[in-house]
Amino acid sequence: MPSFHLPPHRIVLLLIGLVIIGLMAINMRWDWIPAYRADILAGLRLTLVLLVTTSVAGFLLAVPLGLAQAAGPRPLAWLARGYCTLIRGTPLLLQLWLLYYGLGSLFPYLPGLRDSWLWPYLSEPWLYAFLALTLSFAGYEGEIMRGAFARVPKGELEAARSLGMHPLTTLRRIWLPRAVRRVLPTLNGELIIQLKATPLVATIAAVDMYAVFGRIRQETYIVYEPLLLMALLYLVLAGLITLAFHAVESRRSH
Amino acid sequence: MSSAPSKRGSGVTPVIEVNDVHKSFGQDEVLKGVSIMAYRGEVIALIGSSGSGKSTMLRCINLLETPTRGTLRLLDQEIVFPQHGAQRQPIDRKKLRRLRARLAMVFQNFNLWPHMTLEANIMEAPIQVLRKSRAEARDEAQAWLSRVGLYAHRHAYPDTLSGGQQQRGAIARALAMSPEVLLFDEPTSALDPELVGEVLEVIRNLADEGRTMIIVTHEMKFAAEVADRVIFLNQGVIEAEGYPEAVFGATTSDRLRQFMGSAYPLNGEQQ
Ligand SMILES: Nc1ncnc2c1ncn2[C@@H]1O[C@H](COP(=O)(O)OP(=O)(O)O)[C@@H](O)[C@H]1O
Ligand SMILES: [Mg+2]
Repeated sequence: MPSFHLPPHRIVLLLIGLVIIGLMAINMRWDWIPAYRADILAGLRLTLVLLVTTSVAGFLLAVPLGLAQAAGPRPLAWLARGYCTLIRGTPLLLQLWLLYYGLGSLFPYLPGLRDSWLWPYLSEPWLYAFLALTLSFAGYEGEIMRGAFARVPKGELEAARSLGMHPLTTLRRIWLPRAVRRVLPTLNGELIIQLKATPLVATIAAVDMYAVFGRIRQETYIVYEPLLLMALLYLVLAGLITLAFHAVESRRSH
Repeated sequence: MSSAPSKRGSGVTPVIEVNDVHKSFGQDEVLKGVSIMAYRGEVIALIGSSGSGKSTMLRCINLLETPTRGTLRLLDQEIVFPQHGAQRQPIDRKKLRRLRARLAMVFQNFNLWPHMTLEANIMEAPIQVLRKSRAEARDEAQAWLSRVGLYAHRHAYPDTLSGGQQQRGAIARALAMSPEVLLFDEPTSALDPELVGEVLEVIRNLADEGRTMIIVTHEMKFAAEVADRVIFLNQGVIEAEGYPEAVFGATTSDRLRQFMGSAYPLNGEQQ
């Protein structure tokens, strides 16, 4: 366990922080919080759900995207590279809108879809939010996984091959775990970036944390306090992600 | 088993028969018709200067490389290159993997898997390839680790071990497959001089046990002591071959004399 070390400058910073929080608590308006508590929690939940589901799904897509580029047959490698370039080269906001307004507006023309069980979901903004964030994460992580796969020393894979290991077994037991371990530190930052990308979904009327605070500001005419609380919540989430990664990395330092 | 060099190889049919094997990388012909026979229990030292094609030869025998032309008879399997006809793959993939498992290879850079403990490294292929139970694989891994003097380090990760320990671990990993032939590609070349001895000791014990081995090495003194036969490869061609005394005393090949004299004196630093 790392012990908390408190050199003088940290103590000073801590005191300044406490004073600011104290002044904020006294001088600013926080009386709106109880009324919006349920909304804030619902927004927080959507933000969290989007973050977790899109990064898991995106990472699952990133593995084949990275593998195809690192070792796939040429057409597949090009396809994967093209995808990653396209995603990384265009704004997420644009991708989100293309999916929501583009794809979303095509669906009504597909025969039979309107009557199917899928229909109610197809008009949900969170579906498009999920799709866009997933595809985006996959694009960025696909590129990172390409490098990670490529940097696993060939000799380690050759050793597996020379012992008669099946290529899929080699991938599952050696190549993938080695590559993933290499990207873990990067993944921490990537997840925080993904967290900070989620507010974009508010532009297609998905009610995430950002959308909730926007509404609070509109309804209460309070300018700064909701922004400050929102910043604090995002900061806490980012901190939790980092803590989780530190826990994972110290547990398996190999 | 006796360690009298010339008596060790036995049996009528060779375990490995390399017949007129050629291997090119692009325009570059690295092996220019090499033929090698290894009989059961025989220890062959493959020597030659850097770039002469020793690794390529060994990798062809393990089928990590596909010969451009020639015939390999590995254990009971005959493979002719190039394979003509509908089937372009010279040998069915499943057979190929089964064959590789019986021809274990030890690499210059050990190539242990860094994300697994030593014991897990050794259990891995027996579980995944030979379908052994974890318990059985663990028992055997521990036995092999004892054999190479690493039992106490079984829970260590490779990067916490010395090069000599890693290489001994890699040998244990190969042995755990119960291979019929062991292929060593310069097993001590990546080691600090003071660690060479411990690895050679393990290999010497395996030779005394009567294992069939092909060893690419620059340790001439070791080769002279342990090998039943020495093959000198020069620019993709076998330049000299025979009993160690004969090859090392050879005066027939200028190139061999040059090689022996210059780069690797017979009485090198190895004890
Ligand atoms: N995968 C490869 N692609 C291209 N050239 C190679 C490859 N492997 C080996 N070579 C070439 O083949 C020659 C022999 O290499 P190698 O068998 O490693 O020699 P040795 O092990 O005797 O030092 C070298 O010139 C090397 O550059
Ligand atoms: Mg070599």
